[in-house]
Amino acid sequence: MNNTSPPTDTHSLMLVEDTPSLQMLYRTVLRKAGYPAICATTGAEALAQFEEHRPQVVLLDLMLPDRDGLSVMSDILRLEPDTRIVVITADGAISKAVEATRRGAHDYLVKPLGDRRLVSAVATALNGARQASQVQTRLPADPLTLGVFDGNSAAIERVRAQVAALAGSMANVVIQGEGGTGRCACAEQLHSNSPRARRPMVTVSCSGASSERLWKDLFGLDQTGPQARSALARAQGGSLVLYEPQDMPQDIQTAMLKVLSEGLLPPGPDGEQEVVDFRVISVTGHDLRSAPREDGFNAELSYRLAVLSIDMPPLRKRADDIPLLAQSYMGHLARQEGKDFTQIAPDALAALTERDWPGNLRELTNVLRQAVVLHDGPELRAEMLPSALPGSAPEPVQEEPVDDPLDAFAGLTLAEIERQVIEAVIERHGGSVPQAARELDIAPSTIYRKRDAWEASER
Amino acid sequence: MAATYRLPEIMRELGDDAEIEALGGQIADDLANCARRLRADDAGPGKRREILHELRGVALTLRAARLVTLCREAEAALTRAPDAGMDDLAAHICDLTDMLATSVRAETSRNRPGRPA
Repeated sequence: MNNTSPPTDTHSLMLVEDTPSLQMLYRTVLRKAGYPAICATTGAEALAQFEEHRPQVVLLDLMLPDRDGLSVMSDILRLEPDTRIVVITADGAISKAVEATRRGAHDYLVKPLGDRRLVSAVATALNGARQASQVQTRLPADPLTLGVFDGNSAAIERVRAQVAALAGSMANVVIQGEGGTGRCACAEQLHSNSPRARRPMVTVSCSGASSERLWKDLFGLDQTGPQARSALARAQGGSLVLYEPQDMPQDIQTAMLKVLSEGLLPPGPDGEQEVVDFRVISVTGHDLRSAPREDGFNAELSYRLAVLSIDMPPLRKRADDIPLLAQSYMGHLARQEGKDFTQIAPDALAALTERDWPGNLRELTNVLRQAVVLHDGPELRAEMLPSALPGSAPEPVQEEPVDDPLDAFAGLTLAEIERQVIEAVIERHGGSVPQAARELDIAPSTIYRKRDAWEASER
Repeated sequence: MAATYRLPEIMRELGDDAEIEALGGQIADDLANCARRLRADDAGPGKRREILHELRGVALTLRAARLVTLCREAEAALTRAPDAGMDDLAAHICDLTDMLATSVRAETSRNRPGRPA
């Protein structure tokens, strides 16, 4: 029924369900799968059993005869904050399950519980609990990625707290914000701090992707049926990161909703159907939670994807962090470029702080990179910054008439301009598509896809 | 009206007849118990909503779509007008529940017709 080794501790799991037949049924399913459970039928009994056995995972029905399930959950988490609680609710009560997830539940199940979904939820929760107690070190992160979270502003402190709180949850998360605010870095942080950190993080960009492409990328399907291993299958055990999911064509939205609601992947090339075991992290510039939907995005799918949310603040709303961020980025960029910059002069810092930064952190790093590449340290001064920055002294070269940068694109179509820009950025990064993708704030798969299209059009 | 439903998958996997009978018996008991409590004169709106919710949970597990729908309608009616009677609907739900209980008990019984001794 599952491919996860059963727990050795017979008190790892507690089931709280007041309807005798359902308790018997769930207990039987779990026992057959190798997960024996201690059982309780009321909130009071559940707390007494919990205090005695301290199970790692609790399956909790939200409607109990003596107490509200949410208050029982709160009491359990107060006693043992690391407990993984999987709440059970009857259909039509999704809002209560979502509320439970916001208050710390690890996952939720909607009745009627499929045997495989029940076992999968328990297996995932138990594995997560065991890994959380074993994993001491996190995956090394890119210094620039870490830099996104540097600072002491209230805005970034709120994000740090949210990432810490949500990383351990199984619930799907949406990360929203303007381009360049560090949404991708936030997705990486969520994954690398989750119990799924040692499993794959698979990214798929839905922006501008055709239906055919997404059938293949996401589901591994083409006109002839199952082909390659799908992104969903590769993300099993880990995280599936969807960029701009609201751009999915309608048929893909419907298929994705089916996968998430039924908890089963489409059949693979071998005809087997796996139980869904990944967390979806959506990265978007839109508000997926807005209702009613005006962009045609499936409302039910938006509820499934945006159970939890993180809003990445624009740089202008965390201006207090700019000195620290600039110093951190400059040091990193100097090491990358082999320069000896060590400090930022007060006038340069003032110029950087006064700017609105519509391109957010990406624009800040671009400005600093330009200064670092074109000049020498050890001090970064205002006159080294591009002249567009307020407060910076004009550079001698800019006293000359400057050509309109758009002249270079005269006569080209938008698609041709896009290709030129992408190829130029890849070249600037020494041919590294992932680095170019990061600078452009798009998924590497988007670049690979566009390259395929360019090559196809040349044949 | 026929009480269409499907026994939970796990019951097909259980090789032990006694275990199947016990599980089927418990499901039938819970259904019958819900019907009995729903018929009781002293059940107020709040209590009835609780019973309907519990009944819906069991009906969902049995994929008894008609009963699930009726329970949901009755819960909604109670929420809209707690003081209004829902006797016809409640009576219909109780009858259907009893039929379901009888059917489940018979199907999971070790002594049901056609079952090898």
